[in-house]
Amino acid sequence: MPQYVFKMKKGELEIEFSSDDAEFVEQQLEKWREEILKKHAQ
Amino acid sequence: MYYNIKIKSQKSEFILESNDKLVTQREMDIYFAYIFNASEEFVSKIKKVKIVNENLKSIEEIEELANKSQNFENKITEDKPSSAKNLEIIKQIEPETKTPEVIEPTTLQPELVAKTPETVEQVKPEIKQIEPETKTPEVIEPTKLENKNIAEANSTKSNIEEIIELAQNEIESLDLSINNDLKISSQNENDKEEDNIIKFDIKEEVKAQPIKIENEKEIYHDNNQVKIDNIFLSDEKENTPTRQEITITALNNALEENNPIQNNEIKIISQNQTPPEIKNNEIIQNNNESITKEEIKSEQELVLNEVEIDFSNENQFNLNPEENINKEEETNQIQQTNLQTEYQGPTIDFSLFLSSFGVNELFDTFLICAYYIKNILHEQSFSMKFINSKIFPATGKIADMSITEALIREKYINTINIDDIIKYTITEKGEEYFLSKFKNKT
Repeated sequence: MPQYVFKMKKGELEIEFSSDDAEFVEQQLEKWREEILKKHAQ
Repeated sequence: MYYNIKIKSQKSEFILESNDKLVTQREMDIYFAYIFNASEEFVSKIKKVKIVNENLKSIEEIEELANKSQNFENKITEDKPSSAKNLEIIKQIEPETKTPEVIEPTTLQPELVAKTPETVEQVKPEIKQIEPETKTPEVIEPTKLENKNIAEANSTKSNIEEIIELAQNEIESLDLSINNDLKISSQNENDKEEDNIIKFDIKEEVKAQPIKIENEKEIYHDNNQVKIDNIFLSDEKENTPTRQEITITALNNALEENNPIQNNEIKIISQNQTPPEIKNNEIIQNNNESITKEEIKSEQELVLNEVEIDFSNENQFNLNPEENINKEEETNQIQQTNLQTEYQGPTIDFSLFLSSFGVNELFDTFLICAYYIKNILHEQSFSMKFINSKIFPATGKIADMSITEALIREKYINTINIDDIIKYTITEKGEEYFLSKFKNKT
């Protein structure tokens, strides 16, 4: 089974997300990306 | 399928391990909103939490959990109907929250805020607000989900906005838990009051110190002490020769009389070495003239003597400039008497001589050294080896041919060929340049 591990950092904080669900990972990352873009746009 | 989330900071760690996609998605959204909306200080205060979710396999289990959650909600609303605004929101969303997914957060939250039961009550409604977002047809039968379309949830508010609101609510609730911690710490402050009392006692002890200081001042003003200091200082002034004094006086002689050695027949001789015999019969300053072999021999002897003197007499010099000024008159008197006889004082080291000029460039250093060799050491010519034996100990640098070529180009030095040995002498123009440039510093 493939595994997907993503790490994000903001300052001292670190988020690590790991899963073997490719679809879910794709959806979730896209969601986060859009949210970040919105935040930067503001 | 597995879904793991870890949120780490220096002081906290959040771990979510789940096989439930929806739960994972909801939690991730919440904590993603945390990170990007909450302050880092707040997140760093989250205590270590570990949540493990399992899939809800049967509908019966889901219903049981749903009933438990409803009972728990009723208890909350009955006990504290107006305690928090979040509860009112729950009532409005209640028809939507009757799904089995609602139950999951209730089972998790006692672990989250196990230390403070009040915060558990407040966190619960927040998670229930999330549920409309997380409701998906995967867990629930399609017949039940018909009334709960995801499109409806998206029509009212976007998922992100709801997530942010929920995160903020959770932040407020967790802030309360932090406040509780602060209260506990405030209880501990009572112990600190005792410490303050102890500190007050210490302050009283400190107050006694000025008395000791006053006594010390009295001792300091004691006449005997002052006399001892004066005696000590006076001994130093009398015994220690000054370092810059010697250089200043030598330079003054050189500048005032231009060539005191030749005019007054002063010979600077080391204390330990006898002066070499110098024959001034054929002293020459131009390229066209030559120097006798006897003088070359005497020059070589001077080189040897000078190197020894550099090390032996170095400790005799003092770096205190104030003493130089005080002793300037005395040294002038000594030199005036020595004008009539041979001067038997210590030889001036080039490093001391150079230090009074404050020169860093090798070009100027070379010229000063050439002037020093001619007017202090009485050498009319010098080799590169000889001048570098002066420059290197003083500056740590070695002059190469580029320096000599530059000085020759400026006509500050000339070259002399003696028995196929190239030597250099400082010209009158070089001496004038030296005097004009460094007159103020001397």
